[in-house]
Amino acid sequence: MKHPAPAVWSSTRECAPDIDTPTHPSPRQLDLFETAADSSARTSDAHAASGKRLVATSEQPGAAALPLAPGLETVELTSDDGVLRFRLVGSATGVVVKRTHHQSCHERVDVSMAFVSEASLSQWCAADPLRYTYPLLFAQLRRSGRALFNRCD
Amino acid sequence: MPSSTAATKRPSLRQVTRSPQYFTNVIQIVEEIASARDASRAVELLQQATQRMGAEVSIFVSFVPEDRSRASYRLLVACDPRFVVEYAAQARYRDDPWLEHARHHALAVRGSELKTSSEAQRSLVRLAERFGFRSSVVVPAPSRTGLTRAGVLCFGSSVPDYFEGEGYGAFKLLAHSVALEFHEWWLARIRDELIAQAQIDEEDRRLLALQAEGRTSKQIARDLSVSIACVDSHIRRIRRRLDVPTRHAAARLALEYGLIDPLKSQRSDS
Repeated sequence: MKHPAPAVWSSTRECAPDIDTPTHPSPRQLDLFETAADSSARTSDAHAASGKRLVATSEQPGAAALPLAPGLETVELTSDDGVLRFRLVGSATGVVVKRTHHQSCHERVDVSMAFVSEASLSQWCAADPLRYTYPLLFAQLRRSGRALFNRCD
Repeated sequence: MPSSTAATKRPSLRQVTRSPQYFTNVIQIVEEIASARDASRAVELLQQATQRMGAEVSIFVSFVPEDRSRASYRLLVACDPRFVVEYAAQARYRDDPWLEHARHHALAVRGSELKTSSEAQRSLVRLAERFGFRSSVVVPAPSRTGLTRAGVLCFGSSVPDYFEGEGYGAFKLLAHSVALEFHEWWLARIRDELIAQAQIDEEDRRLLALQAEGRTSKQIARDLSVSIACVDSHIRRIRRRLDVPTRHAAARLALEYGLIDPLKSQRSDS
């Protein structure tokens, strides 16, 4: 029987767009874009962290978003269309990333995994096929991961 | 992934399981799983359990595969994360022999014992081997009868035939405990998430339980001493919040996601 997805899967959107037919930028465009994004981030990290779609939070209720409490840092990133979401948590051994992907209105995949180095997180980002669909999100993911690893150091 | 040279230096499963502290060390982790505050802590515990049990890598999947209207896969990964990227990129969930085993069986098996029936399944096995599951154990974590949600915990080693020799019995015994604890942990998270997002309260759950028992509005109204119109209106509101088209679908969803106890419903049916 076909019927709409329960609210838990679609609370923030009517329907996921067809992610199989995105307009992909070329790798060259992506490199230029990410270079620009990184450059921009270096000059305005604090501004980016308080942006609409990049939310840095502490798990302490009522705590200010930045700076983060040492040992318990959390960053949440969401694509503009709500299809892809990342939650990064700094831990004693590295960074744990939870990737939530609404593959369609009806299918959701959550993956939680640990990274012990910035390089391993970077390699994983570079392998994700959705990096071309959401270049800004992945640029933010890399930056946030780097920041969390630096905090861990 | 460890090199073959490093892999040959690893102690055998027999040596690991003969350690006097083997059971105690793993049970310590099992006892912590239920109180894991979030997925990041759960991943850390899975990594520790994997290491203490003598495996190199593992992955836990909790899934509802049957109904495409609400299919979900939730993974805890204690292996190279690029494995999941490659796996998901090819939408392997429906071709996965590990998930297939977990859907229909309750007992752990070695990967070598699983029959692969298609090229897609064989391709998945080869992919897993590339990422440290050269020898593997597949441990189902079934839900109660009649529910489609299931869990599966897969352990791997880069050493060929690592799980084939002595020590497998002890390993399997603990593997079942670890798998069941992670399965229960996920179910609790999913249930809490659904309750929070759909704002389901105790009264709603009571009504859903009565609906799941197959009672009519008239019977429910009599049980709760309210009007039939009141029952229908309440169920309609619940249905809207759960975003399902019928009251039966609402009851089914409540059972599947643990909002109500399926045992109580079954007892009432009999």
